[in-house]
Amino acid sequence: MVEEQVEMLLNGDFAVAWAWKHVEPDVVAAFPITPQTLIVEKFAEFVANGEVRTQFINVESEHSAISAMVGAAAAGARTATATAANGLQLMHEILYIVSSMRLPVMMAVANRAVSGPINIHCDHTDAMGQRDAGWIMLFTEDAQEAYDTTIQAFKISENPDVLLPTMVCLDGFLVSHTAMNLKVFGNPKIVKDFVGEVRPVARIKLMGEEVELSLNPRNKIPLTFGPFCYYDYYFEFKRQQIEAMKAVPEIVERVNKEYYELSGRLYGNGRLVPWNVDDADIVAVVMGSAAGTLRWVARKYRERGTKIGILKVRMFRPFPWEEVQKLLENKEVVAVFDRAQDAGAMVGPLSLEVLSALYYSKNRPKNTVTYIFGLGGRDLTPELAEKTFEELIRIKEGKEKPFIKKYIGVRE
Amino acid sequence: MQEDKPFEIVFLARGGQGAWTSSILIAQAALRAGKYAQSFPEFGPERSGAPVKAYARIHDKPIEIHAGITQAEIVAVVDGTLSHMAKDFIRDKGAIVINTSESPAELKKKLGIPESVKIYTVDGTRIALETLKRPIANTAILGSVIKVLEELGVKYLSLNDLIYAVREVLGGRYSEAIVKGNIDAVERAYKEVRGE
Amino acid sequence: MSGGELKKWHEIPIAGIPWKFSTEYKTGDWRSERPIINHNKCVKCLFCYIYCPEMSIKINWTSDGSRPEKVEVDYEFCKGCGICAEVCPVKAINMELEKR
Repeated sequence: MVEEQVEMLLNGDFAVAWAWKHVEPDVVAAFPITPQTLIVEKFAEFVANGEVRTQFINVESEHSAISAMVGAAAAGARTATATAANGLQLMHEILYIVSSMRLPVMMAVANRAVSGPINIHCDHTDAMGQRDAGWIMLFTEDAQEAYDTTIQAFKISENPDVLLPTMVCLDGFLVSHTAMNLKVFGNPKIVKDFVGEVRPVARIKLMGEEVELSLNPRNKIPLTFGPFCYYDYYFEFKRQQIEAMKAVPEIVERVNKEYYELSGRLYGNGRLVPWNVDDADIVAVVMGSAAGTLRWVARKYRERGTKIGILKVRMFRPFPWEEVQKLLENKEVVAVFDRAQDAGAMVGPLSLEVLSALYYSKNRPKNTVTYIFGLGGRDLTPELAEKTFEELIRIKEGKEKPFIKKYIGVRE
Repeated sequence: MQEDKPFEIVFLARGGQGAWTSSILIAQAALRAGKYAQSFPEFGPERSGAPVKAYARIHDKPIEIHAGITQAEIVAVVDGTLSHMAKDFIRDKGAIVINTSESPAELKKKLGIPESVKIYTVDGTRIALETLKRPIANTAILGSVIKVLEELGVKYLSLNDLIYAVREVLGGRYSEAIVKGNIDAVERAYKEVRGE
Repeated sequence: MSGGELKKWHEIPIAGIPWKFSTEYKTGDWRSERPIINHNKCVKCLFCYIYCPEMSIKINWTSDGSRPEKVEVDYEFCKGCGICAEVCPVKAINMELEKR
């Protein structure tokens, strides 16, 4: 049954803050950094007004913010933080610790270019720098999806088969500061029932006893978190993380579906959101807000009979490569739109994933190209999108040679 | 002008003059009118007095575009000293609304605005000084934008929707006197705006 | 965690949690010097107990449990760091070369 919801005008940052308000995490620690600042500002307001019971820890850096998450989450708390760009880079070393300690931390990342030169606008380079940190990574297209995905993230992370942190990415300014009509649940209890009133704490077998996987002094056997580990066992622990990641795709799908039943909003199968991909000759693969712009432009082409499809990648980690492979089978042209730096790499990070998947495909697309776009907030306007679609059509028709990668919107 | 596309408005102002608030107010008004809206600032390091832009999109279906607006149906110039920038953002057959004491005809000539673009002026700063006792003309400009929407035959939102939005958005932040002053500014500018 | 047969990844608890008590690791043979307590000098102030990083100072309490009767070193775990001798206010602990 779809629950009652309230329509509001909220930007992506406020949407995340509202999602937190409805989930009411036990502990939030964050350090402000544009374009994430509005999240913590708004949430701090909720805390100050007594609208939530969350412990809000003021910290002196992002490194401390994420470290506070480690302690709180290890103690069994439901935790959330938010950051962007250089703040995320400062968290880098701790991110691996969070995932290896199997702490279900929720983190919102308002994607921003990484300095230098200093830039505050959107690209995905900051998140891509963390792609191997063992976190689940979900990318959102607009403020509504940011609200919905933030709520879902808690439930995905806290699943006992997963116990991995989730990063919810929202494009800086394009989502974080763009207000839109969106719906939030009228009754926070709906959200609390969905994620669970309190964070479920996993239980593990230890020395013949079943104990809570937490720093709980009432545990029959006290646990040590984060000890030294030799080469004789480190690899085995990493192997466990790989296994946990394997459980994620199904959980993401299930949570997406359960959430749909409450909200009426469905994001594909939770992992990928294909738009007219099945019959398409040309498919654009993209993450974040640009998916909306490309879809908007593709609609016009569809009306004219040009078969363009858009494949929005919502879940970047774990990367749903088998599905991507399947969806892109036998396509005439696949174009990956990558909003991250690629210096020294063959293509951008999203494209590397797609190309790897396609390498093992028995029915590879005829042409696969990569566009690097939008670095440091360079706009992907509908006009630019149209130009690239025209180019893709020419490639399809054999009028233009395919290429490995090109840059959209940069002055050459 | 293409049909099935969001109606787009660009606000030109200086940091601190409330351009972003203008775009939020118009979006909130559209929401009240049952339409879909998008509002966002062209953000930079916040510098009071520097030229800034804010954008709004309104449509009767969900808005998918996530990009700045390069060619708007309406360019609203909150600070008259920026009126020379307006023609860079205006679409053919669009309308420019400028906060100035000058007449539309004078300005059109001075700024070299093409014939197909309509131009409207309102002395927003004077209205603001009289209603708010401060030279913040963002709500006054909005009142004239509503009038221009009517003249363009765009029925997305009404004066009442805007007044409701002013109450809703500013009411949470400011005293009743300030809210009332802003509503007066909206209403006066709606009446006082002049076209060619 | 070394020693004995190595377990497979699915046989150990997750999150890097150790599954044995540290008491299973007898660190006493790491010692090159051995602390010897002179019980005639010892005033049972328990500084050594507080400072010992290995919790290798054992206290025997009087039968009514009101005060320490005798302080001893647990040589199964003592690594011979000498901190106890350093902090002892009455110099009742001597570090002597370990005989092997």
